[in-house]
Amino acid sequence: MTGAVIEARGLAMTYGRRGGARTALDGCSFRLPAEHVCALVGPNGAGKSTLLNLAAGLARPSAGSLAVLGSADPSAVRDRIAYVPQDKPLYPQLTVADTLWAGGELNPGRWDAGIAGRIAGPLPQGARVRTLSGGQRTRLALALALGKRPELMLLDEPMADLDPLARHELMGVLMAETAEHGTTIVMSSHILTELEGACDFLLFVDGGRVRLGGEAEDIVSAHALVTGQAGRDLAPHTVVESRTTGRQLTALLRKEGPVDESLWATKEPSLEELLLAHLRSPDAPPLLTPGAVAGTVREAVVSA
Amino acid sequence: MSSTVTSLRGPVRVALRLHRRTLWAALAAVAVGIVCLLTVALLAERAVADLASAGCTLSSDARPCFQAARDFTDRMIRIDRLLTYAGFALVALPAVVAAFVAGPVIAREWETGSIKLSWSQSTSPAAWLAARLVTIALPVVGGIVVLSAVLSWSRTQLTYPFPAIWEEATAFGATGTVPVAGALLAVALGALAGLLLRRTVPALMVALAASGLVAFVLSSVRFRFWPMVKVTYPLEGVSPVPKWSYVVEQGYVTAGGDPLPAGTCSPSSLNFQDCLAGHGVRHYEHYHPASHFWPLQLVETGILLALAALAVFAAFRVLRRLHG
Repeated sequence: MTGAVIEARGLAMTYGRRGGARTALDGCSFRLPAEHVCALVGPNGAGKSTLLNLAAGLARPSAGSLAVLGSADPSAVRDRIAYVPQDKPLYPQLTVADTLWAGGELNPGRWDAGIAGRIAGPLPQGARVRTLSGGQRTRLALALALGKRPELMLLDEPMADLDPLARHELMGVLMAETAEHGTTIVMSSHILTELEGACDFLLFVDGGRVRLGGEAEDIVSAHALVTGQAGRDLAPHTVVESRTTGRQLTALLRKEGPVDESLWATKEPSLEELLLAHLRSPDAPPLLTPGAVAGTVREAVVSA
Repeated sequence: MSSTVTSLRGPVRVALRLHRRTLWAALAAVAVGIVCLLTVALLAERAVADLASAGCTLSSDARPCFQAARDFTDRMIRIDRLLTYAGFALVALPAVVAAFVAGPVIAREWETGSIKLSWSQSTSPAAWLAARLVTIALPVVGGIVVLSAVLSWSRTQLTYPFPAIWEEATAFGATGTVPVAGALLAVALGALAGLLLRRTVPALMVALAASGLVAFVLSSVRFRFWPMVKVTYPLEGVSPVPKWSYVVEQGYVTAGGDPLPAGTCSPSSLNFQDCLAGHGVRHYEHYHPASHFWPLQLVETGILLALAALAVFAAFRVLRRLHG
């Protein structure tokens, strides 16, 4: 297995001081292996943007540690990370062409004008950034990020402003990036369907910590959606959520061994059903697959 | 060192592109300023020529020369006033520079969010700040050196009795090394205010106020930075203070060397001189001869540069805290 691209241990982030303090992350631990396309999902205010901001090295955590690309200080490897924040910041007074030129100037030795130009191709090259639409800004921000030829891309709500055609095209570009160059991509969204199918790794953040983490397939197959007669015992499985309609019980289970299919009609839940069930049941225990568990301190030292 | 220069190359070029319009406008303003100063010098030359062509001098007592001399004096006074305004503009320039650095150059990056773009490139936040300091400081220093030199030269075109009075704030603060050091301090103060406040308008206002305050305080204490020459001479004697000296303080001392207590003799009374003589006092004067110009300039320059270094250091400390 290749090394971890992101490894967080007990990550906490608090904004403001005493009175107006707001906790964005609280005891967040996980590990993201390389060459994955990771969906970072969770409700609004779950801490997704904070996590990406920390991973990009733009802020320091209040507590805990965060290693990115093998460096305990993410800002030390900023040249290997591309970060597209949620509001797609750009220099408003520059033109599209000047923005791409600036990308080359600010990333000497790494800049790939070819890919940046290809992504930004459909944009009016002489237009000033302040005149661009939301979708056009996103395209330009992604062009800057891809032009940097990063090893890790952190994309905060990258698809929100894009029309379906552009979304499809740019997703395709991102997928090709991971396939060709082994780039790891972390994409956040509060709409899972936006990312489903494109991502093979899942980080579900809620209330400042990771509640589900791991390969998407493994997480789905660890659960079962069962239907059967109400009143029957569901032990030893963990019930994430259950609903009774008349004499019929529907439950989302985290399986502990095989489910007795003679008593329960069983099917595999969709990723969306899984997340909704967890969102409605804040007390369900977290699940991290072995690949998503942050290593021990000793391991981390060896891998670094 | 060379790697620092290489790593600054890209950020400097981008900063130049970002503030291209302002820098071009500033260049145009400097050009206009130079043209104005040269025009003023030409006007002075014309006035001198006109007086000479009338066959007059300022001290001539021929009746037809009275009007010519009066015209010449009026014109020279107007020109002198124009140069005073120019000097004032040059003294005020650093505060404008500080406001520009604090607001549009630094704080606005937080308002547009582009700071996250700037800081997630391969170049470091330290390079981001250093590039902005260099991009603004170099043209500002260049512009001020040129303007100050042209202003001094224009001053020399005003013949006696209208030379610059060197100790005046609009002359002392606009010539020599002080304006350059003042501009560097302004850039540093602007950067510090921008990083501390991170909102365009408040940062701009605070930088303007801070830079103005420093200039004001320095202009009111600058003549204490070098020891004055102190002389006493007899009540009936002639002042030994040389021409072009700046007399900071004068009065009377008793034979013991103490200053005459205030109110001992009333200057409005008719027997004022007799009263003074009765106390056996002498005149005293504390002054800076014109030769103190450079020591005073250099000490003030040193103070300004030290403050600038301090502000730059503080700015990088604040930057370090901001990007974690």
